[in-house]
Amino acid sequence: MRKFTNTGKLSLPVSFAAIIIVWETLVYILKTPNYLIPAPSAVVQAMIEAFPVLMRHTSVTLLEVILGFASALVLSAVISLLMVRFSVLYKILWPYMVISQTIPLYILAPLFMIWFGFGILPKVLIVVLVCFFPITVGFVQGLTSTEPELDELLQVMRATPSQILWKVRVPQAMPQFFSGLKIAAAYSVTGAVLSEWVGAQEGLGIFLTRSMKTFKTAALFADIVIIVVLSLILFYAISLIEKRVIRRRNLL
Amino acid sequence: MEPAVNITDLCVSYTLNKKELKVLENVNLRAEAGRFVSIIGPSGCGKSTLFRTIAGLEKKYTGSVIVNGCDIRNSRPHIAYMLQKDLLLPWRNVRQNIVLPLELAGTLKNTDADFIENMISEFGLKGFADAYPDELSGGMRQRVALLRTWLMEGSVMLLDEPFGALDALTRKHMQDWLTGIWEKHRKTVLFITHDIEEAVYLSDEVFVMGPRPGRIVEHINIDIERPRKSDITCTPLFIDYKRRLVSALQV
Ligand SMILES: Nc1ncnc2c1ncn2[C@@H]1O[C@H](COP(=O)(O)OP(=O)(O)OP(=O)(O)O)[C@@H](O)[C@H]1O
Ligand SMILES: [Mg+2]
Repeated sequence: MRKFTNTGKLSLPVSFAAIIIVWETLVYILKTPNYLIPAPSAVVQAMIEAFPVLMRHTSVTLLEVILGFASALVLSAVISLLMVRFSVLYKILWPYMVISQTIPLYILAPLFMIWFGFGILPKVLIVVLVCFFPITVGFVQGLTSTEPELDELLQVMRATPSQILWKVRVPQAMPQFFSGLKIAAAYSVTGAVLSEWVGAQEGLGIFLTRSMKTFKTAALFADIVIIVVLSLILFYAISLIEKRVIRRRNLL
Repeated sequence: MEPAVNITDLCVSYTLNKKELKVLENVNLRAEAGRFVSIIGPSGCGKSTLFRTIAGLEKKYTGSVIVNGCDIRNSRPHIAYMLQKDLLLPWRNVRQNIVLPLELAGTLKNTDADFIENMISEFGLKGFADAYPDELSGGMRQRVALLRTWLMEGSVMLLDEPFGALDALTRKHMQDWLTGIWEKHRKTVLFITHDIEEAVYLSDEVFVMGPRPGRIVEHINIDIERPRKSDITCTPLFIDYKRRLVSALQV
């Protein structure tokens, strides 16, 4: 068994290194022009050259992501709890939430810009919109998935509705709540980048369009790498918090 | 004296696919206070439904259910009920699971911490108070669920097949332990089981239920003196009770 776990740990770095090496070699052998597919080394070089500029753009995007994610978190938590406590609210709000997810983001982004200007607000709102749904779906599902027998036991123990909510439903919802958070974290950076495409002064999305227009494909790839790394960091940060909150592994 | 539980002509039916399904039909059952009363019957005969009704969870019934002199239609009975599943909360450790009923009733703050610790050792859970349910064996989990039921407010305890899911050896061990603890405290217990030997060994009296629609087909007093030790299961008297239950169950 030990052997398998060890190879499991190594499989990611090994496969990643293999892909990079094969990629680099192919580009070298086929002499592919850099503006089509840059070699990994060219991407690294572009990243080093543009590093200060890239970091400035990253900080703008990161701010949008954090503001949007945090607002979505608070909003989702409050609305989920209210919907579970008062089922009328659930019946009223739920259809609109689903509808909000069916409107394509690349239509909403320019609309938000028309309504809220060129500043950070429309970008934050897009991130909120992207994050809100997965967090709420996960949390509501967790909050409402009590076994019917447990409900009966609580009834026999004469638990009040608020006791049932805080002592049973909320702790029980934590695994699904965190699943939603992780999905939201993974999408949030992409959401911010997309909203910047439509119109912004700074941000990874703007750097992306600029690199594209000037055929600096290596810089474009460098930008993508940062987007991926940023998303991964957010994802694993949430996983880390999850492990601290949910001490026990097999919770359900 | 007033019986702890007095059930007369209880009928419960469910509607399944628009058809009426009679689950309990004219069930009559009396349990005096301080007695250990078992209910035995084939699977699906409505034993759990009977308990759900006594606990006030099943509202649609005819007949009357009186708990400690109060009709449960008029006021919800105070009852300690252990369901067929252990229903431990996985995010709470043993101690936190056990005190849940006290916590919900708001009496935890006034409860002596030593009392809780004493109960934990009396239920054989010493050293496991900080363990989580997923770290416990099946027998341990049942002890935790039993202790939680023990701490629920109510003079009548309903135990729905607490040992049903345990292996034979653990089961025997738990029966010995439960007899001991019951003989010390003498609470009113209604106990559901599938197991004839378990019913005779633990009970003062046994009600036998017939297959659906569930009704009481036999009532047998088990006059074996207490304290009972596990070697009584081989005595002629014990075997005779077993034989009577077997034939009652075959009706
Ligand atoms: N909510 C319900 N709706 C419809 N039918 C039900 C419902 N609950 C139970 N029944 C039916 O009522 C019958 C009695 O169920 P009950 O759970 O009381 O049996 P039981 O004697 O406890 O069985 P077991 O020994 O397997 O636990 C079963 O046939 C079951 O299918
Ligand atoms: Mg049952």
